[in-house]
Amino acid sequence: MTRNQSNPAAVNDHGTDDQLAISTDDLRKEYGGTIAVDGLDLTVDRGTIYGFLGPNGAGKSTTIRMLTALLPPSSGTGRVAGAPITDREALIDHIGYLPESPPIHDEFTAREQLEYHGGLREMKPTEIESRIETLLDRFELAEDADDRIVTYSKGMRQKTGLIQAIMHQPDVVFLDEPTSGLDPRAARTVRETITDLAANDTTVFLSTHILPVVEELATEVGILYDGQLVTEGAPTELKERLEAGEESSLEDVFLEVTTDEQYAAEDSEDE
Amino acid sequence: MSVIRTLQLGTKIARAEWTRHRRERGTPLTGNLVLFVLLVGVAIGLGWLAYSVGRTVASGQTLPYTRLSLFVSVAFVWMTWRSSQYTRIRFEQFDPDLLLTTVPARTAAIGLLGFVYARLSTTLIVPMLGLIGGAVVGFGTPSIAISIAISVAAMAALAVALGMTGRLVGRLIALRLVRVRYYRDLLIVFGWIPLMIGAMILQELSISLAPVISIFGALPIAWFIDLAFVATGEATVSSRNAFGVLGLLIIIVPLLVGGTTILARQIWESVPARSTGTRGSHSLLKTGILERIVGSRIPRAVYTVARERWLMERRIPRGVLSTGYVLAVMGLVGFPAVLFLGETLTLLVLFAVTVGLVAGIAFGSDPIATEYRTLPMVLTSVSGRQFITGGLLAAAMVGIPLVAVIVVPLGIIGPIGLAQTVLTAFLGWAVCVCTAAVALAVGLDVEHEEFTPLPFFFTDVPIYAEQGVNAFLRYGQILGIVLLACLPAFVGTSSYISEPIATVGIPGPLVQTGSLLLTILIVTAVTRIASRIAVQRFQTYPIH
Repeated sequence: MTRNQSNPAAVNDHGTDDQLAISTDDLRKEYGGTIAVDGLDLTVDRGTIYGFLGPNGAGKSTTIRMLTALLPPSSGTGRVAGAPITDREALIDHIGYLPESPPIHDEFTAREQLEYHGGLREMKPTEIESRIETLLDRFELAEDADDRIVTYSKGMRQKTGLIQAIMHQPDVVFLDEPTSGLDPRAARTVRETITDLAANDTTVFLSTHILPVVEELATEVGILYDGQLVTEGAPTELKERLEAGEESSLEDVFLEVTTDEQYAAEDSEDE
Repeated sequence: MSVIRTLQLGTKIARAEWTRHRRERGTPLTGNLVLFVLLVGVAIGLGWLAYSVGRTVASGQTLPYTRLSLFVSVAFVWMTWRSSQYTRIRFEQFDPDLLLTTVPARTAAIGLLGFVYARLSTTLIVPMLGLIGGAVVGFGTPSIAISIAISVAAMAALAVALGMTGRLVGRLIALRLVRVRYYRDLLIVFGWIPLMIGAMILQELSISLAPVISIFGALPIAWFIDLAFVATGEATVSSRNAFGVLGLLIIIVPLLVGGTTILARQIWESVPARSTGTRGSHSLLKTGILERIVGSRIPRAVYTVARERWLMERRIPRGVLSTGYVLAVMGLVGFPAVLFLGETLTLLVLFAVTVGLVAGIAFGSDPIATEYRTLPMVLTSVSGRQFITGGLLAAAMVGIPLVAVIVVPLGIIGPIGLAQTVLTAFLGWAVCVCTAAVALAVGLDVEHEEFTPLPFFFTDVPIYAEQGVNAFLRYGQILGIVLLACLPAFVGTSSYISEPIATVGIPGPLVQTGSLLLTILIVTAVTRIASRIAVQRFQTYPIH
């Protein structure tokens, strides 16, 4: 079931708030003795573009995998579009996902790959064809759609992966570095697409290291550090919290909250 | 760059590749207990053999030169083949972009060569110690330890150089000539079938292989025996041959090493031709025959999964080629066993089961490996039930007509009645679906981290597969489960069972028909259980 078919009632069958696209409660993931995600409490409203930031190894990918039901949490609970994140069957109707490496068959053409995905999603053939044509045109991939993906550049693969993630108009779309490898024109198309998705009430969970993209698009930002959500809020609100106020950038906020306190103290002593 | 510097850097590359390989797969000495035990067994066997030869010579008899030549030739061919395999696997993992922008191509090639030699040496060391131990005790000459060690090391050097050159030549030809690659891979997978038929014909015609075997004694490979036993001073051992083989190595090995450098550079710098075209889409949305008949009673996602499996097999026939395992087991073990039973119906059951297994393996095996790249999308797009049913549908749509075309005419032409022919065909269909279900359940039990990119037949696109013997053992597991479920059909249709039962008043045909029906029931039950397990495993399959 896609977003267009979902019930827009305020409270769903599970008795949860339908205004919330994502909610987690004390979500935790542990590998052996290593804690990847530590007590994550997230609430993301519908139609939000949520910028999910954090240094390498902070636990962003693990969090996304838990939210997309690809990885069971060690403890804690969570819901995406009202469906529990431990119930993959229930969740798949509501989500689209573009991981860092686009999940596409090298042996297929882009058209075959997108038809495959549309078929798995039980979309009608006419709807699949129409969505594929529209999105291929939008991402300037129509001319190459019948070439094997193995011959594609990194950017073309990324575009195919992105089209795949959004073609079924999901309630919540998880994008992990969606502008990676794209030329400026394609990156702009991606940014515009993300804005359009949010305007149509789709929630975009955006994980990227390109902070200007988040600053431009995100309505809400959460920064993960060492498995914990260290700060959350609107980009302007986060910037105001710094001494420099609105003159500072999201990069300043990121560096401020992701600096180890011990090292920061040592640095200031040295100075 | 000087030769010494090239060798130094080549050694560094070999060591780095060795570390990577050891961390990925372990070594026979540390990583795989079964293999280590096997090697110790081989060492004991070789030790005993060397001891026996030593005692024979000590008792005044001559060295069994011809038999030893045959043994050394087989060992040399094995070493060359293993070297070729190590080259193939490591070449795929090599990072030419890094190496070729850091060191000259010849240094990188020497690094690869060094790795292959080190890898082969770790496999040889335990058997060689056994051989040396047996020979020292048997001959009573401690110095033989040195001559055997030199002989084995020299033979390994030649085998590595030859194996690597052969593999690189094959790879270069395959890159340039797509057709040659196609026939090469076909020969590798199914070449054993004509070989087996040839061996059977030779056996039937009672042709002696003695003249062929005697040739081995005349080949220069046999000179390694002279080198190994030169310390014994035995009359048949030629010291001229012993030193001749060393001289030959001094000339041949550097030539082959030079050749590998040129070949490796050619491969790294060439643009590969592809086995399949790179343009043109095949629609996954067309309404097929089954869809027209059954309509929307089967969800669209199920058809899509089945169509994707067929399309993937057209592009990279990994499932179809994996049926080589089935044909090998059923041809080399099942066929002689059924011929021994001497019952026509049992033979027909064997055909039906084999065809069912082939179709089931072709479209049900390795689900994670096949979907490896798209797994995050597949797991977040389709339900477990739909994915598994799609796999079963893909196998059934191929298996059902295949069983009908092969089994039904054979049954009708032969002395088997129509009823038993139809039942046997039903059994073949049930086996096909059952095999796919078991293969899916078994395949979904492999963790995501177990897969690495490896080269595969017919294509230059690396596929994801499990390393080592695990994948092979999994095929054994699938075959074991399905064949165990089919056991009543093989036993019940055999005259060894039906005839004794007939003596107590139950007619033979009734026993045969009953056993076929019972097997269909068992196979169906196994299918249901395996499907449920597969669905459960798909629904909870994690990606770390």
